[in-house]
Amino acid sequence: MSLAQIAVTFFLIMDPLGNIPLFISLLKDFEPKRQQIIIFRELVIALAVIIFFNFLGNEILSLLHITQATVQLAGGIILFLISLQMIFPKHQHPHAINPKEEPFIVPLAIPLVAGPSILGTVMIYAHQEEDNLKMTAAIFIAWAASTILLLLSSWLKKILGDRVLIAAERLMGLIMTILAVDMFNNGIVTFLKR
Amino acid sequence: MGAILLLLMFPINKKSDDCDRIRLCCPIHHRESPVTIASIAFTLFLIMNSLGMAPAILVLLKHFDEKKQRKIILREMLIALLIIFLFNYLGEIFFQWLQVGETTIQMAGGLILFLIAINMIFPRSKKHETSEANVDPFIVPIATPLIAGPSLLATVMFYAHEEPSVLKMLLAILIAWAASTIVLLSAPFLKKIIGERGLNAFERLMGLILTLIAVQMFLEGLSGFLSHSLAQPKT
Repeated sequence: MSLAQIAVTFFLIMDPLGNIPLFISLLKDFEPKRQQIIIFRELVIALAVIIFFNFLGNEILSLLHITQATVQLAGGIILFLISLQMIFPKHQHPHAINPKEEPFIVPLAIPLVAGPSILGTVMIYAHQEEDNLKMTAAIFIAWAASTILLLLSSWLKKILGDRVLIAAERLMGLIMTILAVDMFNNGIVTFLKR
Repeated sequence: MGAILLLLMFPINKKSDDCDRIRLCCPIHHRESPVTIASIAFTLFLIMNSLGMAPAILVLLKHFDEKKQRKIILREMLIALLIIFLFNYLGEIFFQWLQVGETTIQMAGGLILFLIAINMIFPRSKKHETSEANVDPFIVPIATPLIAGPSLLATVMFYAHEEPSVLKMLLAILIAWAASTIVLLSAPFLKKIIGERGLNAFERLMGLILTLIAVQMFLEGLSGFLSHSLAQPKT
């Protein structure tokens, strides 16, 4: 897989557009400058967590003797499930925690940015992709794009509005469905060839 | 924990070409299992889902002070361990009696694990309410079904039948159990650090990894089935 393909997949799974409304509602009590600082800090923490799982994934999956075909088939299924969640989102309750407190690590860094979907996918890709540098670079590109979008979140929301953001999230979900099916097909071919 | 798992996986996974050839003509005998203690233990640990259970157990025990909580958790975990051991033993006899083939076990096991994983990825709203929260919960609901629930017991039965070495199974169960116990004993502390949302996120992540294990198991069953049924006409 090419660097661009991995980076795009990660970017879609990080789902920055879907996270924008949640970030805004969680940070609405802070002044804009403070908001930017908090967003950047949380994203750096998320990056550290993702890089950590990148290394962990390789260890755990080789310990379990997971073969290439399995990674592709299961990865396709998992990506498909994630994309379904993006196309048909459930109601999220951002006001479950006290909004007056400054959010630290939970819930912005984990699980909104470095959530189970991205961590699981990173682990799978890390096992499949031999080149560690490529993985790290892909993570970094996807992360940088997400960071830019999230730092611009209040501006984007003003221009695009909530509805466009939701529509964009769904569109990203649809694109991910294609990536998922492609991965699944590759898995079938790998399994049959053996 | 990780270091112990890594140490355990080394001695038991040597299979040569010879072994593979033998395995094709008589798949049940002379078979060296490719499954290591570490991978069984890891799978069982994921299914025990101690991180996902932690919030529910804390709610059940909120009326007790911390020392008593720890005592109850330890007692319930010991009972759960006994139940798991019993089903481990039962599984071997039961499937032998039903004459279920190896490939069936792998394919059905893979499907069941997959369903368990999906359940962890999309958890249904957990009902925390209990009738009498003040009563010391004995056996039900913590030991069974929260820890030694249907998914874990069925998986243990499957593995027990597939795995010829009893000692290996017992060790794997013990390792997974010990890790889960440590997680549950530190549950109040974990909840303070990562919060309920963090615990839910970890539950989903473990579900995703379990999906991989499930698909792997299913594929092994499928390729065993294919090569077995293709080899049949020649013999």
